[in-house]
Amino acid sequence: MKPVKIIYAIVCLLIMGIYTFADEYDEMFEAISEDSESAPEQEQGDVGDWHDMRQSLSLTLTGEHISSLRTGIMEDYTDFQGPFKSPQFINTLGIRVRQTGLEIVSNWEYKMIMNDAGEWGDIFSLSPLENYLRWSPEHFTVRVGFQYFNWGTADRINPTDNLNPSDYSLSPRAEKIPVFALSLEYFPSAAVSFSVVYIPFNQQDIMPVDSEALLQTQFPASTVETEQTAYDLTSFVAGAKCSFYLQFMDFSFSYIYNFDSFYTPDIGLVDLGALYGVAAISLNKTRVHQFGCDFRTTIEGVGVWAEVGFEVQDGYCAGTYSIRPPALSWAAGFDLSYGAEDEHYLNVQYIGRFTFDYDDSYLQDYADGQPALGQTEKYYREFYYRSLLNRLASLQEALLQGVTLNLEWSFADSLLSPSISAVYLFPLLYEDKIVDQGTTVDYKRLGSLMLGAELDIMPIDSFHIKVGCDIFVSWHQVGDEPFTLNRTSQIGSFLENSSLYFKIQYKWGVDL
Amino acid sequence: MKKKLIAVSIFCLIVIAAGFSQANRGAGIAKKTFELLESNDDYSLITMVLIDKRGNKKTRKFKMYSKQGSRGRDSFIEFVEPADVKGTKFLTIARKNADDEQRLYLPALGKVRKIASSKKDGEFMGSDLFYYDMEDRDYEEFTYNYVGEEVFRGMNCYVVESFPKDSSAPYSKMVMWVNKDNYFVYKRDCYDSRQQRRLLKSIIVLEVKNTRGVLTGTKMVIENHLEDHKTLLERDNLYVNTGIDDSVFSVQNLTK
Repeated sequence: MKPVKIIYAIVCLLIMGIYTFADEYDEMFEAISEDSESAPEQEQGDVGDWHDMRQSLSLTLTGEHISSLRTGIMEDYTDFQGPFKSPQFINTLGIRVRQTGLEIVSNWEYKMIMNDAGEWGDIFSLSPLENYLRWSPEHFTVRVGFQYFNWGTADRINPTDNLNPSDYSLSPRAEKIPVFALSLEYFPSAAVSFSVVYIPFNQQDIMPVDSEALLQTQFPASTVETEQTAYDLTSFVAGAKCSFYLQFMDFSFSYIYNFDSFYTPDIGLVDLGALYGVAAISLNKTRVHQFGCDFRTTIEGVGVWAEVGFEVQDGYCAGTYSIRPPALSWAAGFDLSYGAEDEHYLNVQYIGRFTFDYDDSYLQDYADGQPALGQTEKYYREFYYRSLLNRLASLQEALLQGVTLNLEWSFADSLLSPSISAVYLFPLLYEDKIVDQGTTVDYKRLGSLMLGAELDIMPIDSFHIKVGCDIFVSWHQVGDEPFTLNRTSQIGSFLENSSLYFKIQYKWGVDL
Repeated sequence: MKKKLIAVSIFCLIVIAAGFSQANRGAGIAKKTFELLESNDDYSLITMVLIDKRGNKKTRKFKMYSKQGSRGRDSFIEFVEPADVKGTKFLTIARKNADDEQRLYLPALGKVRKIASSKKDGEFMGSDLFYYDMEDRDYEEFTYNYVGEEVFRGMNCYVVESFPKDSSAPYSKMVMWVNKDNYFVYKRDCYDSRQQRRLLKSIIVLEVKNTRGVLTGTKMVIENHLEDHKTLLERDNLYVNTGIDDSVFSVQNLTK
C-alpha cells in the first residue's frame, strides 16, 4: 500500500473515532433528567481530606492531529514543493504524570510529509517537544529537560522572548524548538516571582538560508567555514526575569546572556597586489546581551500591553565595524472582546525594530559596491566586513516598523469562526541605492504583507475543518521600473509558500 | 365626607402597613437564606451539559476551587473538557470596591495573562449562567417582598421576590422558592433587566448535599426561557472546608 493511502486511512479512522465519543455525551446526563421530577435529595457530602486527594497519582494523555492539503497560488509556484506546501499529517502525542509536587511531561511530534520521492524514510519524522521533569515545593518551581519558555506580554511577537531557538525555515511565523534547560522559579509572595534559566549548551536556530553555502557561491576562491559552537560548558546561555503581579498591572524585567541568532564573519585577507582579496571566511556566533521589560494591564475591558527588548553584542563598545550594532525592538498593542456574548475578538499591535548606527552609506563610500584600488589592508578589511555583516543577519534597514491585526468572529455557537490575521511591515531609514547589473540605481521599498484568512468550522467540540489561505508578499522599485515583488525581504522570501489550504484538526485529552 | 376621608386614610395606612409587613417578612426570610452556613473553602469537579433548542448537547468540565478571603471569595478554575481548552486555568482574586483581579493561563501560549473582568451579564463558558450568578452576593444588595407560600416539588416553600439595588445587575427581579425547613433556595426565577423585564431564566436545584453543615446544590438545571436553551450542572467530588491552601489561588499555581 502506498504511504499516501495509509495516511488517508488513518484520517478516516480518526473521524470515526470522534463520532463514537459523541455518543457518550447523550448518555451523560440522563440521570439528572430523570431526577428532575422527583423531590430533591439531601445527601451527606464527602468529608475526605482534600490534601489526600491532591497527593494521588494522576495521568493525562493528550493528542492533536492535523491533516492538511495545500496548493500554491502564486504564478509559477502552484505546486506542492517544499515541506510547507506538501500534503501532510502532523500528530502530537503527550503524556503527563503528576503526584504531589512532582510532574513528568513528555510530548512528541511525528510528522508525515509527502514529497515527490515518496520514500518512507523521507516522509516520516519523529521529534521531541516538551520533555521535562517538574518539582514544585512550596514557593518554588524547578524544571529540568526540554522546555519552552514564553517570556513577554505581547501577542506572538515578543522582543524579550529569546531563550528557545526557532525554526524560520518554513514561514516568517517561526516555530519554537524546545531547549534543554534547568529553570527555577521562586515566588516569595503572590505579587512577585523570580525566574532563572540555565541552558548548558546553546541550540541554534534553523534558518531558511544556508549562510555558508551562500558565501561559498559569492567567494568561490575562498575558504568558507562555519565555526561550530563548542560542545561544552562555555556554550551556555543564561537568563533571569523578575515579574510583578499587581492589582492594576503586571510587569517584568529580564536579561539574557545569549548567542547572536545570526553569524558574524571573521575574514582573513590575501594580498593580490592592487587590492586585498578574501582568503577565508569563518562564520561564528557572537555573544549578545539581551535586556527586556514589559507590562500588561486592562483599562475598561480593554487589554493593553507593551514590550521592549534591547540587544547589544559583546564588545560593541570597542567601536569596531566587525561587530553588529545594537538594536531596540518593541511591540505595543491592545485587544478586546466584543459582541453580545463577547464572542468576537480584535487584537492590534504596533511593532518595530530600530538598529543604532545602521550602515546606510555603503554605496556612497564604495561606488557601485566596489572598493577602490591601491588602498591599505585596513580599508579592504572594513569594506568586506561592511558588505557581509548586515547581510548575514538579513538586516536591510535601520527602522522596520509595522502593524499586526487579528480579527476573530464566532457565529452559531462557534460552529463557524472566520478570522483574519495580518502583518504589514514598512521599512524606513535604509540605503535608497542598490547595485543593479553593475550600476548604482535608486531603490524604494514598499513594505511586506503577511496575510492569513481562515474559516473554521467546528461541528463538534475539538474537531475543526479549516479552509484558508496564507499570503507572503513584498514590493520594491528598482530604478524607474514599475513596482515588482521583492524576494529578498524577510516576508517576501516566502512568496512561493503563498497557498490555499484545507485542514482537518482534532484534539483530545483523557485524565486517567 | 369627613368619615369617607378617614376611611380612605385608614385603608391607605392598612395597605402601606401591609406592604411594609410583606417587605419585612420577605427580608426576614431572605436574611435567613443568607445566614445559612457557607463554606470557607470548597473544591468540586463540575460538569455542564449545554442543550440548545434543537437538542444538541455540548459538555464542559472543569475543576473549581474557591476560598473565602478577606476581600471576598477567590476562585481557581482548571478546564478539563473540551480538549480545545483542556489545561486552561482561570484565577480570580476578589477585590473590595474594585473589579476583581483576573488572570488566565493558556497552555498553547504558555503564559499568564492579566485579563479584563468579565461582564456581569456575560455567559459563563457558553452556559445559561451569567458571571453574576457565579459571584457571591450580600443580603444588603437587594430589597425584598414576601409573595406567599407554595409547594414546590414536594417541599413547602416561601416565595420571596428580591430586587437588585445595583442598576448594572443583569436582572430586574428574582423570585426565590425557599424551603421552609432549611431555608435553602431551591428555585430562582430571574427576570431580564432590559427586554420588557420578561422571565429570562429559571435556576432549579435538583440535589443538595450537606457537608459538615454546609448545604450545596450539586445538581442543577438552568433553563433560559427566551432562548429555549438549557444547562445541566453537576458537581462531583465535592470537598468542603478541607483547608485548601492559599497557594492554590496564585500565579504560581496557574503555571504548574
